[in-house]
Formats: sequence, C-alpha cells, structure tokens
Amino acid sequence: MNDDLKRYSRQILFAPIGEAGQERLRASRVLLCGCGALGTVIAETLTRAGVGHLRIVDRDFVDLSNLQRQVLFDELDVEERLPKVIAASQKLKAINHQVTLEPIVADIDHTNILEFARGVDLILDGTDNFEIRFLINDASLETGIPWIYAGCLGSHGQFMTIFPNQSACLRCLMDQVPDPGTTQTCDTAGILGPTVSILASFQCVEALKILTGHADEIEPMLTIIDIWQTTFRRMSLADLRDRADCPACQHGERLWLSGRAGSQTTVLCGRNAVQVSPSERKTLDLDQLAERLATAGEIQANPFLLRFRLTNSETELTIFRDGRAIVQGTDDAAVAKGLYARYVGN
Amino acid sequence: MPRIHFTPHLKNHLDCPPQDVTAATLREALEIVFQANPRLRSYLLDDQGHLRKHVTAFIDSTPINDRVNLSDDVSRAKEVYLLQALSGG
Ligand SMILES: [Zn+2]
Repeated sequence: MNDDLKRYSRQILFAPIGEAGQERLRASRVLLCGCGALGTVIAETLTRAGVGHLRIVDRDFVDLSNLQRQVLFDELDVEERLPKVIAASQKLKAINHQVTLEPIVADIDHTNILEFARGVDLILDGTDNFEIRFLINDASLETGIPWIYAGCLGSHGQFMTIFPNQSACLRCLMDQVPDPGTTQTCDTAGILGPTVSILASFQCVEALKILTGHADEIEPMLTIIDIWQTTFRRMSLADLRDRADCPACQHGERLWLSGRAGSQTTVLCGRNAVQVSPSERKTLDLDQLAERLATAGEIQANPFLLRFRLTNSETELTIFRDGRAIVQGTDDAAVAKGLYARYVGN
Repeated sequence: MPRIHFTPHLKNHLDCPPQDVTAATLREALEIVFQANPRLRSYLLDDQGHLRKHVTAFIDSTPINDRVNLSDDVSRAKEVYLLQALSGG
C-alpha cells in the first residue's frame, strides 16, 4: 500500500471502498454549505476519511451556545470571535494535512452559489434554513451536481440524497419555503448534540457512497429518525419525481437561483438596524409566534407587531404582521438574515 | 382503518399520540383528529385548508397526490404519517 494511503487502512479494509475507492475519494471535491452543527461533523468526518478537496462556506462567528454540538470549536474560538470556517480549518489541518481545505467566509446567495459549486462532485447541506436549501436545490439542478439534504430539531431529524434530474428534488417534496413564523427552529425548540451527529454521519455515509463509486446503492428515500424515541423510518420517494409535476426539475423554474425568491434586506443607515422582508407579504399569527419565542427571550406584543429581545443580548427583533422584521443591534445584512431565519423561521 | 402518526416533534409539542380512525379520505381522517386536538389544525393546514408548504403526508410510506383537497384514499391504508420538513442544522 502506498504510504499516503496507510492512514486510511481501516477504511480501505472495508470491502466496498478498498484501495480503488480510497483513490477516488482522494480525487474528489466537495462543497460544504454551512459550518455549524451538521457542518462541523461533516467537515471532520470527510477530512478524516480523506476527501481530496473540501470547500467550506459559512457567514457566521463562533458563539458560546455553539459549543454544545458544533464539534470543531472550543472556548478559545469563542473568545477570539473567529469566523467558523477559519476556526474549523485550523482544527482540520491538524487532523489531516493531505486534504486541501478551502475555507470561505461568505453569505451564500444567488449571486455566488454557482461560483462556490464550480468543479465539485457533491454538495453537502450543513445549513440551518430553508432559503439556502432551496437555493442549493436550484444550483444542483442547474449544474447536475448531487446534494444531500438534512434537517433537524430537538431529537428529530430527516435526510435525503438528491440526484438532480434523476431522483425527486427538494421541491418535489415541498414546493416552497415555509411561511415565516410557522415553523420551530433549533433556537426556539432546542436541539440535542447527538441528533446532529447522527444526521451528519448519515450524510457522510451517503457522500462516501457517491464519492467512492457506489451512488447506485443509494435508494430514493426520505429517512426520518428520532433519537429520543429510538425510531427510524424510511419513506419511498421512488416515483415522486414523475408525479409531482415539480416546477424546478420538470419545468426548469429556478426561483431561488434567479433571485426572484428569497428574503430581501435593507440596512437602515445610522440606526444600527437591518430590515428583513420575506419575498412575499404574509399575515403572521403573532400569538403563535410569541408562544414559540417565549423560550428564547423577552416578548412585548400589541396587535400590530411583536418585539422580541434575545436573552443576554442587545439584539432586538421587531416583527410585523406582514412578515417583515427590523433587526436592531447589527448593520450586517447577513447577520440580520441569519437571526430572522433562526427566530422567525423560513 | 389507518393509524395516524405525527412527526415526533409535533407529537411531543402538541401531545398527539398515534390515533386509529375510520375514514375514506385524508381530509376526513384529519378532521377526526382535529376534533380531539384542535390546535393541530393550524400546524398542518393553512387558512384555506391546504397542507402547509413544509408539511407532507405519506400513506403507507408513499407521498400523497393531492395536497390541496386531501382527497387521497386512506380507507384501506395501514398508516398515515404527517411530516414537517425541518429547517435546523
Ligand atoms: Zn423536483
């Protein structure tokens, strides 16, 4: 065995991979969107496994509340307020110098995603909101690059692998992002570390199959797990693409990639605030939203709007009935969009 | 007679254990469930009575066809599973 491959000997012994599979893995390139809970587990697993090139894009900094589940970060990263991709790549470099790491501090949007996806064999979803996932879905359909979706909340998670124009895509399953304020997020309903590690590990197994030449062993399924109840279910998506009449994979619509869908932000000059507007005006149920947000901060409400101040923070969100929000305490549009996704949801 | 299951998250949040119902269509099945647990309605359906965008129903592990009128036949099904797509990560 070639010296460079010795460190992977246990993985090579696993018959479906072997030396040939390991070589294919080393020649492969992956885009990881997001370096939070799912993202750090994926980055570490693929780096240890010996992927060739790992491009990681994330817009965020390391925060104390990340350490419970974001496995590549420590207290020093919090103190230094390092961007997540920088903190992560320092750790990853020490784990495996053979992997080419390409950390990028950026907010993924419709103007840059195709550039990030250029030349990769696979896109992995390590994000925390639906807008980016629908954008990844569009980019995947446009470029023909497969991607692996995973989402989680509490003790519950789900994942599916999408082979564009072959298997059902995310829009075959779900046509649009949820209306603002209708879903819970990890920031309002919590998340267990093991939920994320298990989901991300499943994503990595799917990735290993694709990158070592076993894509044909992936079944068109949505897998649903609950680690608290120890349940595991698989739903068949076999003929969904044929019967869903999906605007994206059957009719070529690229709502997110064209920039026609997706929230808009406006920096409110001199106010240290950013306005976030969903792509369509909606009527929010403010009472239901207040009930959800009560676990995460202080709420003041009247019939027209809801004011929400995050616990131990100067940040305040004023959320209007039409779905708009003013995020006070930042002039960074990406930060404001992130807070909106985490607390109002999309 | 199908057994209606809810995604674990809804099950914990709204206290809706699996329930056996006698119904011809998915809509009829859900109406029976909402009688016992009215709060579930707004989590699953929008104000026009369509399935919410991030909600999907599976009948015996296969996605339903009619998200608008919920007319899919459940009379001979063993299981109906209501799923919310999750955004966290
Ligand atoms: Zn599709």
